Amino acid sequence: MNSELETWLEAATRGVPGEARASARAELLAHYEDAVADYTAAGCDEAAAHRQALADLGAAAAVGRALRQTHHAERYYKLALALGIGLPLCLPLFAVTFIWADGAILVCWLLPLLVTLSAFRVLLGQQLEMETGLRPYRLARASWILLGAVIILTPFLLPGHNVFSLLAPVAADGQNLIRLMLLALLAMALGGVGVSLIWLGDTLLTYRRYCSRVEQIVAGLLLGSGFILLSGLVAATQVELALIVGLITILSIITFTTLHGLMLWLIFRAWYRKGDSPAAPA
Amino acid sequence: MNYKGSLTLLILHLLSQEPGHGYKIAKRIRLLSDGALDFKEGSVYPALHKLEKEGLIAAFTEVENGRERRYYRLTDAGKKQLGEERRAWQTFTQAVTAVLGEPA
Repeated sequence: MNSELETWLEAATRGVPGEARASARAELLAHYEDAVADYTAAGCDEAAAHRQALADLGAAAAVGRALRQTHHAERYYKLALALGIGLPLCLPLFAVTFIWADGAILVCWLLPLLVTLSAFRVLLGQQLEMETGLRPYRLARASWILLGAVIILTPFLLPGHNVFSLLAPVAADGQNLIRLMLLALLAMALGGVGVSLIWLGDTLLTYRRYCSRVEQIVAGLLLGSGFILLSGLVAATQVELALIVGLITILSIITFTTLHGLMLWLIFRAWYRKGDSPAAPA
Repeated sequence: MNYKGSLTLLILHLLSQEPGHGYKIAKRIRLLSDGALDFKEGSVYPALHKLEKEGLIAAFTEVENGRERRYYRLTDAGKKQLGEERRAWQTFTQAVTAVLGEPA
């Protein structure tokens, strides 16, 4: 194999995952060899046949970019889906931390963890859908980073006025502490299930281009049942702590879904405006 | 002539006639269009891989001249998609023709 071809193949398949890379490389090599054979049979000298065959394949960078986009999209989708499922599983940690530690620890590591995971998932979604670098995408990404920063910093910037300072006096009541702990666990567990359903449904709907119609319907049902569960949790309990936890959860979800909807709207608008984008929906 | 956007339709159509590999598909496009469709042949492979991931075509291996080649064939989902792509293309061309045919 000549060095020019080797360089071309390397550039065209760099970054393509595992088996797909080997497959693409073998296909491109076979294509090149067939083309050289055809040009030679048509009367070209060998050097010209090699040159023309390589020229026919086009720019290696463009082929590589398209291959990476194709093969990484599914990986991003799976990773985003895993995050969509895994992220709410962190919620029980809220309850554990709340009972065995105090709100400060919660604020210090768990909330940033959730926000980071959430931002990561959204960025993956954007990575999935966009290659064009249009302005709305950048705005959406920037808004999420800004939102994450605000959520992380707010409890530190406003000591005594954050949600955890509201919860602390309730937890400090010695007589009702055990009952409150159990109720907190119950509330967080139910809330966790509700949010899990919401996240799963939301993730599937966000990446619905990769879902079948049945999966989309299931996603919609999951999303709806998650909201019903959370609403029921808040409506059924008269306990102050559960109410606060439920309200906080619902407010967070409303904020999240609103901003997420805005982001998706920006992305879809950009798609249709772009029109000839390779990522444009059919 | 730039054929951007119609590659999926062309590939699905050619594979509906018979299974083929990338080189064969690229050559058929050139031959049938009499060279009018200007494209880089390397772009066929990302398109094939994408269609395979979407389940519209399926890959299989055949030995050709003592060498393994990756062939593709149309799936049932691909046949359905081909019908939709054809309809969309006809709508598009009819719309353009109607506009061009409108007297100035």
